[in-house]
Amino acid sequence: MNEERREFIKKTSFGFLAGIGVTSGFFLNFLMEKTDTSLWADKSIAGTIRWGMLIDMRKCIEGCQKCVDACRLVHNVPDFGNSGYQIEWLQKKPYREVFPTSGEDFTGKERTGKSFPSLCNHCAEPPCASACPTQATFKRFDGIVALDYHRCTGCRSCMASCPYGAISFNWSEPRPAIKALNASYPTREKGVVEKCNFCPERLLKGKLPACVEACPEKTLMFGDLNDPKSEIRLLLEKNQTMQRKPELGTLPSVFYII
Amino acid sequence: MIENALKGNRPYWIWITLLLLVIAFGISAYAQQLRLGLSVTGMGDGVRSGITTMQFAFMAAVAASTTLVVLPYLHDYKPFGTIVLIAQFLGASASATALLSLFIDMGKPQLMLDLWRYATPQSPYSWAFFLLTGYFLINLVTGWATLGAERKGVPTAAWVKPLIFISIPWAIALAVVTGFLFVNFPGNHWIASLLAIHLLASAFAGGTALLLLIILILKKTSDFDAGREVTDKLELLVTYAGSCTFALIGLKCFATSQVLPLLWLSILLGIASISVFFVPTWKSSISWLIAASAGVVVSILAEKGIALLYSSMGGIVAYVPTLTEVSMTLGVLALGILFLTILLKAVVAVKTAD
Ligand code: SF4
Ligand code: SF4
Repeated sequence: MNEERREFIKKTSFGFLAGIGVTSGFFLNFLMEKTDTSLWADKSIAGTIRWGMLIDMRKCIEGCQKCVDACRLVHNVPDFGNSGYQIEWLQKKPYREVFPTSGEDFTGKERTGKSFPSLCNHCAEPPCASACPTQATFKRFDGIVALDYHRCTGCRSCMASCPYGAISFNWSEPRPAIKALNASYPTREKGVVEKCNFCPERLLKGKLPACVEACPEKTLMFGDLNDPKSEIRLLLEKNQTMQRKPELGTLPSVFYII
Repeated sequence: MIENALKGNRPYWIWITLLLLVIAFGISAYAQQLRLGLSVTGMGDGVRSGITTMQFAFMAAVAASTTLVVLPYLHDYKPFGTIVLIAQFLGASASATALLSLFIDMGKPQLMLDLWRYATPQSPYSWAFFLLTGYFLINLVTGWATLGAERKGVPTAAWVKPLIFISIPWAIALAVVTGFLFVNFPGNHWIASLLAIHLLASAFAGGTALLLLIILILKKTSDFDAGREVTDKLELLVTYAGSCTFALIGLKCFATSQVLPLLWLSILLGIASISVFFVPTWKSSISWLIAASAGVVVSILAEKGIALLYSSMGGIVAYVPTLTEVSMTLGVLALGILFLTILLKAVVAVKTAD
């Protein structure tokens, strides 16, 4: 066998093996998959919106906290430090905690070794909303899972039913723990829960959510999942993405590219 | 009838004073929680429920289990006639205790009535609240009406029986729904499919054992004696429901490796207690029987308590209840026992009058 021929066989057989690998899920790519957006409404019902987010981890800088800080500032999120009573709307957490049911153990660290922004997924089938005894947690017309702080009785049923740990409870008076007060957004009181709200107060004014705006790398992409022409829809169609614990059927509106 | 609560011997008054003392401690602890928030408890990140929730779940189960006595009675099983009132009042007090436990666990208790106002059909918590309140009222009203009729020596009013009939499916719903609120078993395991059965069996075993315990204590401390046939039947019920429960707990041992020693402890204690019912010499001693029924109660409490060890996001957490939390929970328990004592005082007075 001459050199050339040998090289050819080596390459083709490697390609063949790689092909089998991809289809049978040997490689990391199997964590992510293409979203079949044709399953979603093509806005046939006028006015239906479903806000969603796509987090592109290829751009996210390890150690950067700009989105987290912006969220804390805009929404008067108290900071209790490591007291065991922390309130988090948006936080960066290790892969193991964000995707505990997706395989990771034996893959390379370049994708899964980072910390991932994690927030409320604004699920299309939110278990938190069905658990709430007073409808203080409810799904809005635009897909946002919202919370009425005045109606919340502090029963913590929603926390028990959210599989993503996205809801925090005010174990004590939050106001003294707010670092810098933003007068344009309300503060909460002890005994109620709170979580990410997808910034409807900013969407109203035509602005993007605070975290999306704060990210210098454009890691966070926000848009209407029900609009086939929106940028987020095009990106979802083009890229392989993943959701948190998709097997639970909560239909998260937050997607990740890892 | 209620005036009987004000008549009693020395031990009775010592008992009442003791309960009032515990309640006073509980109230002062609760005042502190109102001021500082739920941070006065041992709960926090990853630990959403504590001993208060456990008391809620257990008391709801006890309340539901009283239907096991009411049901045979409705089918004209006469011997239970003597204790059906005790069962109903135990049902009422246990529901009240469960409701109060839920109440002191709320972040904003001032919104308690909103649970009625915005009642939500898809929320288990909403159902638990609704079922408990209803069960409390049904048992209290039917029990009180029956007792009044018995005192006057007239037949019970016609509306009482249909209400008691309603209480039976009510109790079954109660046992399952309140249990669902509390589930925290890790993973999506096949064991989850046995959940409703497990909740029912353990509720019936624990609750009936508690009822047996109360009847035995009454026998020891008052002139009231339910009779051998009743205690025998109750022991049988505890044995059936208990064996079922401990077999299901045994199955759980295959599904987890994290808390095995605790599960085994619960099973062994339960089986040891039940076997007392089979040994004739032990069975004839009240003290042994009291120990055995207490053993069943503790073993089921322990198994339910294991759920407290799991964190909301999986894994085991370190949860230690604070003194404030313990005082509050005991205060609620004492309030429930005080309520039961007053009701039982009326029952004993009427039953032993003739
Ligand atoms: S992520 Fe949690 S809090 Fe957010 S909508 Fe889903 S279940 Fe509810
Ligand atoms: S804690 Fe508040 S928002 Fe959550 S379920 Fe209870 S009442 Fe609803």
